[in-house]
Amino acid sequence: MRSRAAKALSPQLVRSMLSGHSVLGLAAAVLMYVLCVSGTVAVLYEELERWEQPTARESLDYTPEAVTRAARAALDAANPSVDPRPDHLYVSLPTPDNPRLIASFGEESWLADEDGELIGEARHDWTHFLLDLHIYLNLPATAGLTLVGILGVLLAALIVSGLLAHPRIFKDAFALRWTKSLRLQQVDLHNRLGVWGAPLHLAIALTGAVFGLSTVFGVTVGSALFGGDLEAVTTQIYGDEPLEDHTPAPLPDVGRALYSLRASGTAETPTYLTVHEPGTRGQHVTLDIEVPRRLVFWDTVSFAPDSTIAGKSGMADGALGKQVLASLYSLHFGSFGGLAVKIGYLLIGAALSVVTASGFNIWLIRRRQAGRPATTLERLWTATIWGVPFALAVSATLALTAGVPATPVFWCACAAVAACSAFTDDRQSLSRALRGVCAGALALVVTVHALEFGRAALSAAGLTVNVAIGAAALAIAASIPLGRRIAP
Amino acid sequence: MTGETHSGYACDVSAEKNHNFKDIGKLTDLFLYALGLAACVGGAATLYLAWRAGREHPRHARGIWAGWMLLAAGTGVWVVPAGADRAVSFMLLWAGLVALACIAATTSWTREQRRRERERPANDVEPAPLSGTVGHGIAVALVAGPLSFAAATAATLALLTVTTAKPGATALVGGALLAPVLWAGAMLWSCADSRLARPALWLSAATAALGALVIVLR
Repeated sequence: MRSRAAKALSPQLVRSMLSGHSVLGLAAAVLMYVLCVSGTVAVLYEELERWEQPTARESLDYTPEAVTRAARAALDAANPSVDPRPDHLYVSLPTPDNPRLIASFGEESWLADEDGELIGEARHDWTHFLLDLHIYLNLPATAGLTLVGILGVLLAALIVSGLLAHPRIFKDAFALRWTKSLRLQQVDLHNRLGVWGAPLHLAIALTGAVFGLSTVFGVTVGSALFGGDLEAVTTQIYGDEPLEDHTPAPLPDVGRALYSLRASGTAETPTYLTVHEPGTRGQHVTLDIEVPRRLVFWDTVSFAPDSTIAGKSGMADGALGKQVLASLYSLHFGSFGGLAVKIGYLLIGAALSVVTASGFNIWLIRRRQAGRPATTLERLWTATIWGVPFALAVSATLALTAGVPATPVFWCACAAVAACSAFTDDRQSLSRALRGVCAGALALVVTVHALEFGRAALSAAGLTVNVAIGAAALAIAASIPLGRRIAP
Repeated sequence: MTGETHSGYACDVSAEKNHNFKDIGKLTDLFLYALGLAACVGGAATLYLAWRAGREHPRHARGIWAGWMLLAAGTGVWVVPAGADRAVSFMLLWAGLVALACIAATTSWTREQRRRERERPANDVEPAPLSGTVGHGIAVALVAGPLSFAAATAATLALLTVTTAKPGATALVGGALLAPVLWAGAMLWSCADSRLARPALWLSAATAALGALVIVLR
């Protein structure tokens, strides 16, 4: 008896969807896989920032005066040759997820103690590389962001076509025939992870597409509907920016905004203080606040020059569109339920990476079974699957030990693994070898971190990431014996 | 208040008085989170058991119904401590993961593989053969890429133009969400249709008509 889904989906539709699915998947497989793996790791970006400097002082206690002191010190300490005239000064306030007071001005950031004294540079170079890889694919900002947005659209199309190409979606809902043929194994793996992960995978794809295409969309809408006034588009969402006045002026007591916020009786936790146009007469302060029990990632409170509350951006309680927009970020990065949700997102992100890998595998197996094996492509794909996490591990190791910039290391390591794959014709041996190398590289990251930072590697700041990396290394190592039976 | 630590606003007198109530509230939240999780695990496990029993089993339909009801109930329970939007997100995340855990726990991972390499999934449908010419590949890329984008953008702009005189935040964000969905649909159509001319023609026509509509109405 055919299932209801099978009845609803004609063989012709399934065949067409499968064709579309194949074309789209093949077109974007490598970049999609890089995005999936980097996005999975980036779920822990707050933890990674702490992990990069696990010895930094951490405290949830601070005073508004300390915030003012840190802001002023950052303004004084900034090196004009790094960034001549930054238009924003940020103070990241301690929260349970990141209990550090960090002042940033332009490209430079400093850690501050409870009194607001700067105690050293905040170095999150590898985490920033990772975010740059995931958000821009390490390309120039607008081009990279747009390309990532297009990949988000592609992923959404892939998910929808995958579901429509699956006539036995209910009948096979829990079937994973691992010990059957390689093709059946990969198809089941692809379909089970794809179907059960589909709701969140689709949410992640669409939110990524919205972020990535925001510039293009803004320009298009601004040109077509706002007479070319691009600022009018952002004003509709984020509100008006006060008039700029670049006449120099001393930085005011910005911490007083915290007193005003508290006096307003709000229960919301401030997370980020921003001084717009700092050191000028046009400067003004905004505070980003956490909104409890909501998916919305933030709301922004703006302050008048006398530090009284001037208004709210309405991201939490304004127009529906604002609330939706402010929720997209949490939905994309899994930052709406503490560490438990982040672990869930790590798993769902890993599942999406496996879906991407197995999708291409299925196509390669089909070709082989049709008597047209693509041996070079098979080797290169195996090199991509294991080369990307390996390259991330190598870049992290070199960044931790020698401060080597991660971007060239990552791409060179990917290229090196791809080049090495040319030296063997045995794809299964290659797969096993690369799994071993990848697990070893991940274990090396934890070892190097422990050697570099000693007991701090086991502190609250270092432990989460080290456990996650260790678990990934163990999982990959455990899969090596399976490499005899499974591809790639 | 000068010099007071700021982290938890803990020095507020009324907050001190409410301390015990807050603890009770936290415990209640914890209990509700656990209850929701139990319903989530129970729902996914019930769905799995009903699936394993098979369609012919008399309790199959009841099991499927009960599984979905448990998942819905778990979402409802989570609404109380987490809010509706987060509760739905929690359930989408954890129900999928629990279902995958059921699969992982009941799969035979180690039994020696029977090497029947030609074994294929039942009802396996081969995709339509891909055209190997470079020209066709470029044509598909152009229709799925720029043309589909243009059609999706024109449709979004037309909708914004027709529905509002000056789009506000909700219309703009709705448009920002709609455009990629339409583009994904057009992209999929372009790649799936065996006759590329069909989506090319329709998407071109839609772009021209909707673009003209935007120009006329602005």
